[in-house]
Amino acid sequence: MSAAVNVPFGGAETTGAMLAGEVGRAVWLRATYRPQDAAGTALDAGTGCGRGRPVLVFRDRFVGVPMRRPAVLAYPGGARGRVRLFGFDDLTLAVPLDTAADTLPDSTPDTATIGNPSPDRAGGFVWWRAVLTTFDPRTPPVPADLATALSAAGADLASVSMAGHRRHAVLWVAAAPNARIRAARVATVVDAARACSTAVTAVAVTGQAVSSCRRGGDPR
Amino acid sequence: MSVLSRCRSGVVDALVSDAGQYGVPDVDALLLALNLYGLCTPLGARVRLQLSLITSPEVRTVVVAAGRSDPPFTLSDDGWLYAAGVPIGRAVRTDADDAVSGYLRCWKHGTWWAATINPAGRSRCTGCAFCPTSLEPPADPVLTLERELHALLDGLELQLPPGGTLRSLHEVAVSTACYRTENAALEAMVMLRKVLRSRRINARIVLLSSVLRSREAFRFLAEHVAPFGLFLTAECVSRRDFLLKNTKADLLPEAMPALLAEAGAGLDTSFTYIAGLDTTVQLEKFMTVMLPQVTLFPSVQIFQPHKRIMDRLLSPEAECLGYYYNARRVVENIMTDLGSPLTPELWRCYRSLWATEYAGHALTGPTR
Repeated sequence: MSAAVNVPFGGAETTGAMLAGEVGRAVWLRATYRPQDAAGTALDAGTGCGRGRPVLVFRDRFVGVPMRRPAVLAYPGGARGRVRLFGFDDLTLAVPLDTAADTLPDSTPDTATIGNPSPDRAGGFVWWRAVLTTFDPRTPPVPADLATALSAAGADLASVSMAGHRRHAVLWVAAAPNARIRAARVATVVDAARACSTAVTAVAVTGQAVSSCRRGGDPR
Repeated sequence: MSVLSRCRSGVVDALVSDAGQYGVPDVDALLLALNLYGLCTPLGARVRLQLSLITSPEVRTVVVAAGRSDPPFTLSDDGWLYAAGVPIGRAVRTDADDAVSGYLRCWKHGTWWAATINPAGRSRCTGCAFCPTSLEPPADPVLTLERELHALLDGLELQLPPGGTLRSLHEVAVSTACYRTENAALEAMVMLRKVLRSRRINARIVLLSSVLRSREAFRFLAEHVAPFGLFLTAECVSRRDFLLKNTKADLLPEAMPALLAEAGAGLDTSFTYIAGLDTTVQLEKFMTVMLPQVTLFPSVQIFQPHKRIMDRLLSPEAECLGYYYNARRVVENIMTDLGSPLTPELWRCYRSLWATEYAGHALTGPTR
């Protein structure tokens, strides 16, 4: 297993002047290469067909980063390139979407060149310092009929605390296959948002609250 | 020693009070309640625990809603799991479940025997109302499918223990792929088989989907992709157009048994079902016609309301834990009557109705 450490993203090391919605962080990374043939087909290691396209491995595993969305890496030599992030239980990867990753110095311990920015050598690897910038996913606009219904009920999607929950509500309504289902989904979202608005404090945990049939009349 | 004798809390008593009447062990009842009610933690909307209960120390994977404000379960900073203040177990590892590109499963004899990968496609998926995946940011399918699959496998490979190889995988499951058409799913499966072959991985491919429906598609998979297993994403019987995305909702429940029978001519077959959305009568009727068609034990999952909208999706009956205890018994009775040798595979479903016992017999095998 890798010794990756979970690192919340967007912490104290935020760098530079970012546009709204951008989060940047200094990161440590190395490249691994999967051999491929001229057509780009991956080959088994040891076939001697060149080093192929890199996969970038981050020293730390990130949490709170929008995975599988494009992000931008500023490599040690100054080149900037787009990557796509992949998250796993023990590590975070990036797959380059352009050739900027070719500027990354060799990560082989024996051949890490002098003159590059000082690498980190944790875990027997050579890790290079870079800056990773990710972008907050935009919440889609609230459909007009949902907005009207929320307003009429004195409710607001802003009362739904988690961005993912707001996005889910909007997309679920927008994807309704017909007017009848759409109206039913709007009503459900409004009902939930109104409950969020009125629930100013968490329900105290009591024996009664967790009885098997506890949810009848529960304002949740 | 039972949980109740350790934790004489009225809350824990209440959680499992009816379990004995249904022959449900305390541990199963507690885990069922944890799945249904979720956790109160600041870790995010959903959390993945490697959990060891005081009365059942074997580490098992549990993935539950984590952002609830009022559940009986809480998780301390040092990983102790409490039911209304009473410690009942400890998470030896805790992760926000936002890193879901793929993961290794079925840990047996020092080797991972299975993997689940989540290829691109969610940016085109509006999600089903009950699906926690739709709470996450959508993916952006920039990579070609082949590169994406290699990246996913590279990530899994880097997590293997020393000396490990993906060639030991017996199964690669494709989940949350959300293919919009049958052809798109077939092309993706062909590509996955090609990628696996290029890496000399001979695993069975399992796809969770409801867009594979034609006899021609099943024949094609048997000829070009097999070994292959289809987990039909049945999910529920009632309110399908309200709860499900359109590519699932337009498959009628009454057509599903024949579909699985057709697929079963050359493929492994099973289905996913969310316990908590239908009435008990609907559940029993559906299980009666579906269970005879499976070659792999179905993934009968506990509905996990992650938020207030999802609370409103529960069948009124399913607000009681007794509903889930009864659902266990319904499935067990039907499978027993069928003489089926299949039993739940604990590693395959992280929100299963079963944890330690099935039809009166202890469940063995990998738990994560």
